[in-house]
Amino acid sequence: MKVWSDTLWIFVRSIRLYVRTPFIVLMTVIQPILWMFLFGEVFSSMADIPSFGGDSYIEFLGPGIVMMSTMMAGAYAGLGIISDYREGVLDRLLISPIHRSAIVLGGLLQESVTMVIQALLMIGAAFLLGTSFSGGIVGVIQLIIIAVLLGLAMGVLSTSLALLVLKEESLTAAVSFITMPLLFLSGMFVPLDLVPPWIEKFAAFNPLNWAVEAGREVITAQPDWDIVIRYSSYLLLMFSIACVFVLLAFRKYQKTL
Amino acid sequence: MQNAIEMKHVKKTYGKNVIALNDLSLMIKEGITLSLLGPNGSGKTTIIRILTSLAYPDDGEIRIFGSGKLDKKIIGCVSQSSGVDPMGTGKENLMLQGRIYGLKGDVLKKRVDELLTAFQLQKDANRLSKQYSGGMKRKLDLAMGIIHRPKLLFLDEPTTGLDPEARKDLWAAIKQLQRKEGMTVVLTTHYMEEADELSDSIAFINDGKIVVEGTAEELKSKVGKDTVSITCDNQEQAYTILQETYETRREKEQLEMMVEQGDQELSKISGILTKHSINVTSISVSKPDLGDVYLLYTGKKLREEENE
Repeated sequence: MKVWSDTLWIFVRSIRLYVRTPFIVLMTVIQPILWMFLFGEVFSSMADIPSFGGDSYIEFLGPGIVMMSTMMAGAYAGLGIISDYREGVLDRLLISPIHRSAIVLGGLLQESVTMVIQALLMIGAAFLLGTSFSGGIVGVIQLIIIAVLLGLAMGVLSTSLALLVLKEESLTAAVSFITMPLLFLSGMFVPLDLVPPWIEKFAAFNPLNWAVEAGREVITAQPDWDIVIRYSSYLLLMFSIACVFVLLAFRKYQKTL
Repeated sequence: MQNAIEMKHVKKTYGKNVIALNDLSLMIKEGITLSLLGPNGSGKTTIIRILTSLAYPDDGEIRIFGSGKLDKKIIGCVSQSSGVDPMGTGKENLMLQGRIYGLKGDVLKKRVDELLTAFQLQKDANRLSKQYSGGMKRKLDLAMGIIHRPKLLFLDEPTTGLDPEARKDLWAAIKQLQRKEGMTVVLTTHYMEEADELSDSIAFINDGKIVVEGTAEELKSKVGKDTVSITCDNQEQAYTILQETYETRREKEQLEMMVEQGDQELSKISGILTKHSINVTSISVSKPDLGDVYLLYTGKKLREEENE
């Protein structure tokens, strides 16, 4: 199918661009390990709170940091399409017989590869810092799949937004505005039992929280599959809706031309 | 000969007030090179965007080779804003473009080599295109636009921003293309010389409408008259005197007169001024050019910087 071969060629181009930017490669490796270490240290005394309900904070934080990392990577994915717009590459692609989905999917496939590498590095760091991953390899794979799903959903939304604003500064500002509340109004840093009720209510609609809750379950020896399936389905639904948005955003972009 | 392009009553508006195309109709015969000539903002790029399906018209009918549905594989486009991936080498850019158009294996490799050679990019093929000069980038753009041998090629201001030498170089490449590939070419430009040099036919566009169309010679013959240019002492007095006999206008430091037979009028004009003791510093005659045609049909001059 042409859409898949087109996706492959866009993926090859995106990977090439990625490896030719050594600073980004370096950041991809350093950043997740640094986040895991810093957040683990800063919030380590959290485990001493009587109602915390766990033995180690890093055990609690580990899956959350993995999710945060892929969410942030996805949230900035739209910068690539803005760069293509500025260079005229986007218009060249839209004039060509390439399927529009391939333009987005090829870029996201490259983001997925980056996200998997980052997740693996963070899981390794978390393991070294004391996270047990009692769900074994299967649990780790499931954790990565959920993390990538969150990253892809955010990536497609970011691309949609990028096609509407067409400016790096605007996208960066919007991403900061959106992701900060998502990070802190979730159960990523603190168990939801310890936060005010309104935050718990917000968290029920927060995709980062869905991924964190599902991620925490899959790495345990006996996951609560109800939680995993429910929150993974929400993420899948969000990804599907985001795909419709991005096609509409392409149409809207072309209407402005 | 079949029409490659038929546009009938096409309208396009940006926002509520900016009319880009105003009930525009245009027919382009297969196999010719047509230049759309007009100043910035006249609607040239909008036409290209609509014909390549990048933008949508508000109204009107468009047919490409008789079909209302565009087959993207038969068109090629070199946009004003380039389209070269700066982080890819010249060769990688061409390979990707070829693959998107369905070329594979040896056929693709051969075509890429052929284009790199034709556009003298062979020795820089493996350099990142962000290191290319403006002229080289434009050549690569052109090569990417024709990699799949389109039947219809759009060139949107292909030489804008290039120095005169690079521009002439690219003209040669376009001419060679026309000879070898035999495709229909639609070229937008605001350089009169470029339109004159490359086109079989020229369409002048102003405020989103085609105002006149024809070969360069046909268009120039519509002006009919030659232009005599004079610089002299006491220009105001000379203007008043010459106006009694000739259609005269002030143009910067000189006076210009539209006359039927310029060569024959030179001595006559010079004689009139000498009789009134006005010293003529220089006098020359020029045949009508495309700028005169534009002036005739729109009452406007193509801007100076666009004529350079």
